[in-house]
Amino acid sequence: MEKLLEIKNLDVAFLMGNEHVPVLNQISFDIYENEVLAIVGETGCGKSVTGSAILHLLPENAVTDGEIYYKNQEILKLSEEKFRKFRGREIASVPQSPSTSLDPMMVVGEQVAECVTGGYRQKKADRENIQTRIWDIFSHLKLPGERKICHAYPCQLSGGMSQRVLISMGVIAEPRLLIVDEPTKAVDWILRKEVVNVLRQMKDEMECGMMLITHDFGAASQIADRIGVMYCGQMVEIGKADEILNKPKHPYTKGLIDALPSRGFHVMEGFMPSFSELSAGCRFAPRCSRCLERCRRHIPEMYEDGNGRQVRCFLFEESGVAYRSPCIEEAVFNA
Amino acid sequence: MLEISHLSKTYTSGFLGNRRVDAVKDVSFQIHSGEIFGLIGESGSGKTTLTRMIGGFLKPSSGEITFEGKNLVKANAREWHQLRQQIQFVFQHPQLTFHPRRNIYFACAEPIRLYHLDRHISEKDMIRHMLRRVGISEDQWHKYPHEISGGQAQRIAIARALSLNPKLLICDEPTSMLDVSVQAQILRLLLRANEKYHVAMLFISHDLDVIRAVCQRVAVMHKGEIVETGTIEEVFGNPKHEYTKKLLSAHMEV
Repeated sequence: MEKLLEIKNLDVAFLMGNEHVPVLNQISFDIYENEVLAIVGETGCGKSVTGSAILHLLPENAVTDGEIYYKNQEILKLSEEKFRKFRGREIASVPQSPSTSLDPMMVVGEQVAECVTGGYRQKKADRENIQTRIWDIFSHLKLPGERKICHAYPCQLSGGMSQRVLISMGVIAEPRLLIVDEPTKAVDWILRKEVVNVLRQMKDEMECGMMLITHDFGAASQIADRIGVMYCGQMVEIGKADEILNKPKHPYTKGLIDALPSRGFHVMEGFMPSFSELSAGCRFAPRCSRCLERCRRHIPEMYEDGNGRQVRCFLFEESGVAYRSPCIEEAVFNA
Repeated sequence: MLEISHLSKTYTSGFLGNRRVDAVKDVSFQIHSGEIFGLIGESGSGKTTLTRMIGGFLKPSSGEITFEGKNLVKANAREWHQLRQQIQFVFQHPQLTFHPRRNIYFACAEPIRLYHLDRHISEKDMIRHMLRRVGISEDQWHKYPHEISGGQAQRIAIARALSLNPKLLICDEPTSMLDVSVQAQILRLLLRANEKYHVAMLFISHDLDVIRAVCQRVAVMHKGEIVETGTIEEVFGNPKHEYTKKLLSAHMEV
């Protein structure tokens, strides 16, 4: 499969006064065509920042470094004017919290149309064309009362309906890559299922790549082909969805999955450190139950096992070798 | 311990109140002491209205709420002052439950001052003890609510609620805003309180996995009515009502 998006060693830092707070550290991953990559991690680990960095939507005090290629073209350092050709048309996003992302003073149909027209007046034929496309998408997403709903204001819609309106705003320009940010956060059980179904249907029909930012493992397991796990601004593990869920390698991924109510509900001690007080070694070391001496001093690299499975942990330094006993490792280190 | 019988709340609007919405309709259930009782339902099904009536923030249209033999519907302000010590709340948005301009220490000291609990032990020691129980260190005391994370805020909210030694804790979706790893920490905290101090809980959630892991009995609420009640095994293993079946079919296996 063709690579749609390729991120290489992306670093993002924020300038806070005179301080330089690093947020993303050496993020590298690819998204292939017609593939769904879920990015999973705790709140504040930098998932949404990654999404914003791709879309050039970071605040002004952000400092970025690294490379992002979209269809083999570097886009991270493109000027704002040139990047406009990509945002919305090639790479679109579905923002989080549907209730606050829509303009409360504008009917929904107009807001969706604006994504294609850019707010300019169109010829009558074009207008009708866009209108039919909106109806088409709305009926696809099973929005009740398709045609009438174009004239509804956001306050008249339920949470699930506004979520679907946002999704249609993302897909109306037929992008090749869709960045979906937390579509299932704080929605109830039945609605969550609905949103997941809509996204899965889109993946089959639109044939676009998708980056799904979430912390909902249930939803991710239903849609995603691959899952990347982030911790504290670093990608710690990336691999096929069912491998990550059933055979997690990195201790953090393991802890996260074990904390799920359906997976035994084991509590992982400690909290994610804040970005301004990071330790020198592996960022997960203070919470890790299998922490080695060297973990506290050196940051591990991403180790790949040949099948596209990458883990950022010293335990998997030699690819192909499964767990090495920590006590042997420590003995070697001490010697 | 808590008995709710035929409780209803109708909101009226329009000319002469001719437009009526039944937010809660003829709800009855009991919570025994030391029990964790789950309440499931989609958003807008009347769960929050129900908790507000139990907390005395809302007058029910009809029905009775009895807490340890006392009728809560007819209780006056002075009686409520005593009752609030026994019925405590944990809300969905942890950061919004704190006064934004007062620090954590004040937030924790307030219930102690209100109920004069510092007769045998100083206020500072008491706060130190209760915050240590939930893993908050002393250097966090002088932070403001916006400076702490959601998980920390929720743990402080729980510590504050438990500091009064309540008999009933009403948890209104305590973990729906939190991540899985923090969620597990919060739930362990609640389960420990239940084990150690025998605090009974009304646990509201729409996450069925959480309900299954925490509760002993469960009620399913739909459009203001309770459609099914039973133990976890009964309801999850053999759902009877259409809505419960629909809810269970929306489950996503991980």
